[in-house]
Amino acid sequence: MYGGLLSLLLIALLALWIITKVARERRCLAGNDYPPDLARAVLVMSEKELVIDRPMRLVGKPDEVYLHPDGYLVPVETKTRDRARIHTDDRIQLSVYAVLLRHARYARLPARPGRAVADYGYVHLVTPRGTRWKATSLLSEADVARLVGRRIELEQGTARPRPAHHASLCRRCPYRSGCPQRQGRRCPV
Amino acid sequence: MTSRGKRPRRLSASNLAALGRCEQQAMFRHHGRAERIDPALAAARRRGDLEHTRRHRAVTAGRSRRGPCFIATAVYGGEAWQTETLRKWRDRSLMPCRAGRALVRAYYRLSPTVVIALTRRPWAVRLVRVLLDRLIHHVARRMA
Repeated sequence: MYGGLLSLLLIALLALWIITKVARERRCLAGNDYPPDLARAVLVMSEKELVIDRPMRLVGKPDEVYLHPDGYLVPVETKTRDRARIHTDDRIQLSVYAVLLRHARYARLPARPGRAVADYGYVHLVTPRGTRWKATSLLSEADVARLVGRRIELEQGTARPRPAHHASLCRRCPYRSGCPQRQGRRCPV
Repeated sequence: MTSRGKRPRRLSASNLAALGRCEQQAMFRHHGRAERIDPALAAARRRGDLEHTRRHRAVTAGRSRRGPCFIATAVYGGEAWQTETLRKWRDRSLMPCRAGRALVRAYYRLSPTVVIALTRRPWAVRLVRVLLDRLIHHVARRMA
C-alpha cells in the first residue's frame, strides 16, 4: 500500500515539474521575458554608435545596453537564427562593445573613471520557435587587442587567413564558389 | 616639409567578429569580392534587418521594458510626452549618480504594487496625476 502511495506521489511531483518547465519555456518564448539579472536593469542606449581612439581605434553600435541596479553596464546583441545557439563571433562582438563601453564618451553612460562593465553579455536570439536570452562570458581587453592586431595583419597581407572551423559555415558562404580553402570536398584544417 | 602618417582606420565590432566566423570570408569582404547570395541567405538577412528595427522600436518606446510597472505609464500611457520626459529625467539626471540609481531601484520595487492599487482607485489616479504634473513641469523646466 505504501509503495503505491509513494509511486503516486512521485508521479504527481514529476507532473508538477514538467508543468513548471513547460510554463517557463512558454514564458521565455513569448519574447518579453528578460533574464533575471536584466529584469530590474534600465535601458541606457539602443543602436547608438560608440567610437574610441584609445586604447585602440574601434567603432561599434551595440543593439542595447542596460545599466544593472548594481551600477555596471551589460551589452546585448539581437540575432535572428534558425536555432538558439551562440557563436564565437557573437562573443567577440559583445567583447568589443564592452571595450567601447569602458572607454567611450557618451552623455547617457556613467562617468568614465570607474565606469563598470559586466564580464558577460547577452545574445537575444530570435528563432522561428520564439526568443531566447543566452549569456556569454566576454574576452579580456588584451584578447580584443590581439584580435585588432590580427585583423590589421590580415588586411596588410602579412598573415594568411585561416579557413572556417566548420564545413556548415562554407555551405552558406556567399564566396564559396571562388574560395581556395572551401570545406566540404576535403578538410583543410 | 614633414609628412604626417595616415592614422589607421577604426575597426568595427562586426569586422572583428567576422574573424571568429572565417578569416578567409572576412578578407574576401574586405577586398570587395563579389558575393553570390542565394535566396535563403537574402531572406535571412532581410529577416535579421527587420527584427533589428522592430526590437529597436520596441525597446526605445518602452513597450518591452516593464511597461505595467511604471506609474507614469499607468497614469499617462506609454507613448505620452509626460512619460517620455520622466524617462529622460531618469536616464540623464538620476542614473549617473549613486543616489539616483538607488531611487530608481526603489521605484522599480514599489511601482508594481502602486500600479495595482491605482487601477482599482480612479480617484488615486487623479491625485497621482496632479502630483506628477507638478514634478514633470519642474523637471521639464530644469532640462530645457
